[in-house]
Amino acid sequence: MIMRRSSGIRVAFACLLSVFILLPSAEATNSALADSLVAAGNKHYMNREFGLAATCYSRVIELGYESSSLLYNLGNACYKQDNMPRAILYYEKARLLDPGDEDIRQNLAIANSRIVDKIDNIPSFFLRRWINGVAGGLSPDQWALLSLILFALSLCALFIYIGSRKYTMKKIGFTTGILLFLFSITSLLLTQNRKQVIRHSRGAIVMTQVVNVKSSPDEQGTSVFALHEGTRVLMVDSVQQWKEVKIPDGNKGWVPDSVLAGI
Amino acid sequence: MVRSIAAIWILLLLPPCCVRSQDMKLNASASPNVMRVGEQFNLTFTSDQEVTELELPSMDAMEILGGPSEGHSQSVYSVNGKITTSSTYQYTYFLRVLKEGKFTIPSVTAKIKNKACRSNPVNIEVVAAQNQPSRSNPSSSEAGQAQNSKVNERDVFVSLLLDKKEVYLGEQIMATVKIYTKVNLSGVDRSFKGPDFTGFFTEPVEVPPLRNLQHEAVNGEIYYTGILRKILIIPQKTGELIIQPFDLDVAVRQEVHRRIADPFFDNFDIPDVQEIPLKLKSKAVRIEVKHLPANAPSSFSGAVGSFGFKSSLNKTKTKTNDPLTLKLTISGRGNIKLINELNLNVPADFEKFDPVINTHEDNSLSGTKSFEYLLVPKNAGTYTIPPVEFTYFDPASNQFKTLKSQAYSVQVEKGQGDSLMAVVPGINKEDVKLINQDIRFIKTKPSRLWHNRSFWADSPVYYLSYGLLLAIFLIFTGIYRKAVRSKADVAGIRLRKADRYAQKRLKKSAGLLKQGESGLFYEELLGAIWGYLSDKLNIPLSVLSQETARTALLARSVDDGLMDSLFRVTGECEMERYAQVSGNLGMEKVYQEALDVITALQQELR
Repeated sequence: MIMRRSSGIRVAFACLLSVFILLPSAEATNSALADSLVAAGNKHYMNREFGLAATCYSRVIELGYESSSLLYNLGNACYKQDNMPRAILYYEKARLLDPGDEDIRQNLAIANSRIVDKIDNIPSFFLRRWINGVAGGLSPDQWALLSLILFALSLCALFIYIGSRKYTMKKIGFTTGILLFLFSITSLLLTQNRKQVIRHSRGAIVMTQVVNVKSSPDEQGTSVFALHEGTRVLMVDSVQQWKEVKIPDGNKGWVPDSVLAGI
Repeated sequence: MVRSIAAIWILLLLPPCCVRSQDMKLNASASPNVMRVGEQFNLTFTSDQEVTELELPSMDAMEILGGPSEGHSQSVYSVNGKITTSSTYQYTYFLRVLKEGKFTIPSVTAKIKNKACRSNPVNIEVVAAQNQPSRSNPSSSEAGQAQNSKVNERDVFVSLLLDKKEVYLGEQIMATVKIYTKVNLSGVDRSFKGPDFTGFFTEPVEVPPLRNLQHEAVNGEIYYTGILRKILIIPQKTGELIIQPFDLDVAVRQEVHRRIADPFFDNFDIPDVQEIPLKLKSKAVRIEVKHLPANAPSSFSGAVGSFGFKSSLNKTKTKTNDPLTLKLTISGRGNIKLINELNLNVPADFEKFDPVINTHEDNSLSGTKSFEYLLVPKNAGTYTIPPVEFTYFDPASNQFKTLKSQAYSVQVEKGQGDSLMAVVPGINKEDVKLINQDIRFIKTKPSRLWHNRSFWADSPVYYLSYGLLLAIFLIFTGIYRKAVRSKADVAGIRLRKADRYAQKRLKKSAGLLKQGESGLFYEELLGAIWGYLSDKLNIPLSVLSQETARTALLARSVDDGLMDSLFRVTGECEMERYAQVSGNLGMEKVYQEALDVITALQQELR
């Protein structure tokens, strides 16, 4: 029995090694390039060469790398070039990755104050807001790590329960073990939630100066209302080249997907 | 009162030179300055001092008819009790022009109080003589000339004159409405509408009421001209702008000779004066307005011309709540009226009030505009008032020019007024003022970049980690339990087995009791007791005897009474097993006793 277990551990170790050592080495060159591009972008930004800075940051994203601060910096560079819709797009992307960041929220608010459409965000239900606030505090990987640590701690507590002879220690070990296990499960759920939110964001930004929102997904449809660049919408449905969008006041309509950029 | 009158007399008696400051000036002027060949004109030299040795140079274009005739006038002014006197000396020559053309009478040297001085040169224009005999009185000559003939537009016309035809946007143009006439005018409609300056910012300029018409030669003809209106115009859009013609109503006085048929005498002409209304129409005027160059600095706000920029601060040391006055003055030629407020950025601890703007025009084209800012320092410290930039476009050099005012360093001390506020601590505190809204700076701390939105939380490693932890847990638990098992003695296990063993055998003996199998019953009961003791006291059955059991029980401090009853039960069982004295009743009693003893031992040996 013990022999079989140890072989399992060996397999797990092998997997660990392959992921942590072999995979990064394959992407090491690209990653170094991305890091140097970020540094170059920051330098350009400090020299007030915002166009060049934006190009550097965009290259990094083209390479497939991103981080909340990179997206935030790119948003800043776009803002300085007076490209509000792009600035808002990148701020929103940055906020998606790091909802708790004060700077991102502040700059997004400033950028939003400079676009045509006034956005009234209806405050959501407090419990939902609260959960989102807690979930947004950490990145999915951080939540995952937390869950793992809590799981390990709960096992430790259970070990105390099993190993101890004293009744009080047993009691403490059992309750803490169960509680920590529940917390670990919660963290795991939050990990999944955050991953889902980041991967399947339905938010989008209007990128063209003005777009007429149609009542049906075709050019002949009646124009219901107009949206201007930089406005955030929610993509609800899609039919071929058309997307059904919803704005915060509850109105819905169809726009061609070329005018939108997904967050 | 008497004394003051006496003082006036003394002042009057003093020679004028002692009263007035002396500026030795000799002014020369010709009247009229435009004339026909053969006409005469006056050349007048004016000074406020007596002039000696005045001599005209001989000029071949004109002859001196007479002069100089001297004139002297003196005036005494008393303004608000202040008395000034001025005297004027006039020397007039009468000259006649002989040739056609433009001439300059050169400056003349003379002596004023034995000091040499020069007059200014005078320009005159002479046009060709006309067929009609020229007369010095224009009104009678013109009237005679226009006799019975229709007045045409060559005789009288109105025109709009501009000092520039090609300007930059915002550059100012002086537009003059001038009337030209050769005939006698009896009236001009003063409230005429005037030209329509659409696309221009207009600013009327005061002109003296039309009294004396000036002589002016136009295409070899002498006209009497008068300025009706002067307007400063500033174009507000670019391209070709056309000022449309406008109408002016005038009345021309004409002498008509009425022939009266007299019954007694011959018919004769009676000269009569008639006023003929006339509508004059000006010509359209084209103005080309150019765009300003594109590279305008940010401080440019539309000023076009040539300007100077000054600043002054009334004090550089002050106390809190003691206001400072910063005065910014723009002076020069250009659209000074259109200059907007300057962009003054004061430190946030200063309260800035809207400036007091004063516009002063030296004349219609140039002027001064001053902005007086009242600044109230709110907190003590040393502050710098940054320089203010003023940018204008200079049409002469075709470029923008930026002038910077001086930067001032101001020291603000704590004022007296603050002591009242300081009594209540905390009331002086201020919120941090947001001067400008801007986005926050980028994050320069290097961050971990994700690749392709792949999460560690998705990798098999992550889920395997859970398994790994669980495995480690299980291994540790297993090792722990094994260690416990190896450490724990067999006695412990036997001890736990004792109860079960005893119960089993007791149950069996209870069954035998019911069957009435007394021999087997006692054997079972004995087995139960000895087995129980063997397990409980950790003594193998082989060495277990009454003695060994007694010592072991004594070691566990089981009381004697219980021990006695135990051994009594075993003794009884041994006896009954072979003797079989008692019947069923005895078996029942022994069984009950054995049960009681084991239960009691159970309590004791826990």
